[in-house]
Amino acid sequence: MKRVTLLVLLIAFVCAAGMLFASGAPTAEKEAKPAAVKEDVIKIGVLMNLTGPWASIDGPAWNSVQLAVKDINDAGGILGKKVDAICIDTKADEAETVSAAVRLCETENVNAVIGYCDTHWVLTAAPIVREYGIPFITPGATHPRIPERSGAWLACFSDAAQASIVAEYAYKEKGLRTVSVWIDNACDFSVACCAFFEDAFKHFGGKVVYEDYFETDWTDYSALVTRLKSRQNETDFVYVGAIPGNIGIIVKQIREGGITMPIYSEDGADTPLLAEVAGRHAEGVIITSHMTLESKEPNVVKYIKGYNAMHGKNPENAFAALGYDATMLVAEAIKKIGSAEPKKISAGLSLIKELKGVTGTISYPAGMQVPNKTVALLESKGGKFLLIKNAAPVYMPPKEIAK
Amino acid sequence: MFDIRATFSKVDRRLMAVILIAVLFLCLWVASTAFSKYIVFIITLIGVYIVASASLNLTNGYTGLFSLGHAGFMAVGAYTSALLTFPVKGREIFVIPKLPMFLGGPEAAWPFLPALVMGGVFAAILAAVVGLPVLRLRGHYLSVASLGLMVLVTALAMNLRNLTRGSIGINSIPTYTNIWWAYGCAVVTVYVVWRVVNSSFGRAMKAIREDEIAARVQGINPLKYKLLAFTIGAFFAGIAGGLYAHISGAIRPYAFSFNLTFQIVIMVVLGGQGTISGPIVGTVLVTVLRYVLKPLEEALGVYGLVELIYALLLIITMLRKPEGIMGRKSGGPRGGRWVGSLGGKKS
Repeated sequence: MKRVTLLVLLIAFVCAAGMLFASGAPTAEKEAKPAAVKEDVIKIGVLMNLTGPWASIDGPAWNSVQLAVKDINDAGGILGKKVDAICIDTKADEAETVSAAVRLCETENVNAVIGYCDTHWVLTAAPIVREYGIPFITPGATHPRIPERSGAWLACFSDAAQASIVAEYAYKEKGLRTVSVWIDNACDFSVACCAFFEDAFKHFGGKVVYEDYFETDWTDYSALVTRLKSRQNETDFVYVGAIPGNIGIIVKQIREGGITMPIYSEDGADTPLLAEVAGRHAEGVIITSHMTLESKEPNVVKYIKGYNAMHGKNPENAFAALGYDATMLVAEAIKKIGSAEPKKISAGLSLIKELKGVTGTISYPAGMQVPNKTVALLESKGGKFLLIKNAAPVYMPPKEIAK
Repeated sequence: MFDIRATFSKVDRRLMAVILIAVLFLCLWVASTAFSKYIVFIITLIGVYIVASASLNLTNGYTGLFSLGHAGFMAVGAYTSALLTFPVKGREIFVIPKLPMFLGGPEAAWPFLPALVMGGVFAAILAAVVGLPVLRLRGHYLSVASLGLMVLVTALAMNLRNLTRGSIGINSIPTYTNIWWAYGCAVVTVYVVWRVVNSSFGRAMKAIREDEIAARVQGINPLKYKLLAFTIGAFFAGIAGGLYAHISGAIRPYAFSFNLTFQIVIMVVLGGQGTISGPIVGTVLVTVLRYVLKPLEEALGVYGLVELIYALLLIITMLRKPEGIMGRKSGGPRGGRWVGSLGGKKS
């Protein structure tokens, strides 16, 4: 009989939960119908993996969205309306992602969606959001084929751009001719970035000596280090497709293996972890990123100050700054088009020219959803990333290279 | 007189089952028209997870093989079904290989049902091949070996780049899974498990679970029945994987890893292993809880609260009611609780 009691209790619980949902849903619909009620607030839906392997990049981005919303509201809102942001944690789970996207569009009535710093999740959520005619902006997913595959807008440069910048710098300014490329096979971002880099480096006249492979969660790279050491006479430098979790260990193990050749990497290496883990070995590592937090630009300084005041710490990485810019892009698009209607915001986004963001100047060329942006070339010195230069790519590897 | 009662109760149970299914589908129809798309999605997702948990129950609950390889079989089903059904137009944009001639040629994409079944068949074949050596192991060794199988499948999915796109995963899979597909499959799964369990096969499986040596003495070939349970379980895991791929529209190797494995195991253990209703109850509870707590999580700003409550719930269950919500208390010495079901019914 105890089972029956439990079952009855459970059914009661599910029914109660259903009621809760059901009572929430119709009111939301009712609110949606009279346009005036919905229009007095602009609601931005945010989808982030705040728990799980992507938390270290998605978390800061959400923090910055909150900061941007506060800044916009402090300045009087957009078109006289307040902005509100709601974030759903999707826990690095596909079903969660789909349900969250449906919920934002169906019951939360958002005007725009900002989501994720990783390509896979954007490609999972964005097509659903697109069906509702709501624009989707990703702060940090850098795969250049995102627009054609999911209709999402990028707030960041594409991997093709950053790979080209670093290849050009290495070949033309540093006179490096041969490279060994370390690819993280378990990470799509690394695979794409390394493919673009190889293409760009060959374009400028360089030669890829060999490719080597590792996986995201490795802690021992001695096999790769040994191989690199045995071929260091024919290799000028090494390009590592790392992410925040492993760049420090990789750099440390390369240097401890007695290899002194230059190490280059991408925006995944833009993390305090590089200096923390690798210590003095981090000296001289060259990376591309979206910005430098050491910048003395007034808007960057103001942003860092605001972030510190709101969250009690400095921005962790460039993805934080990108979250801020993504929100500002939505605000700017609404201002440009003069309407917060979801279907019009996309048109507003395409009108954006020379928007001065924390991560550089953003404009969308006609018909493109990947912005024209400069890439920051940084060098690790004394535990900080110092700017070498901001540059726009002269050669853009064809986006079809990335799978 | 005994015969009459037996026949009567049998008819009764069948009738009950038919009525229950009819009521279920009526409820689903009402729900699908009355509720928002978000709630319908959650209900559908529950159906998909029921297929997975009910089939896991066959090996873990009834045969006593504590397998942790279920997510691996789901991955096989998901990838098979996704690759077979992927629309021809999208294959170029996403760099997915076209189908070879014997599967319908480059201009073909399979309809949902055959692809789904094919996914199940592949998973079952894998289970049969792998099961032969693995099922000779017992207890923890089996758990670890089956976990190894899961890791193997995800590693394969990651490295067979030309087929699976590696760690990038496959996106924009047509979302065929709706409430009817999910619950159609769930009903079939539960029915098959029920029939298997209440047949001579099922009794042999339970005998093996309670005491393998005693079962052998009775003339039961343990490997045969273990393999059967493992293969049937894997078939439906493959189906569940296919349903999952077509409801989320996106899969990646790591989606079928530890998280999913333990999520399904929690559903089964919480609901009650070795009962028909257990996995269903566990699945409904875990999934509903997850989505009910979401707004709370957002309001409090404590992301990850759901997982904490899961863990707490599991600990409480293990302490207070280790046999699960729907599980029966064991009536005496080892295996006592099964005496009734072993001796009571004949088919």
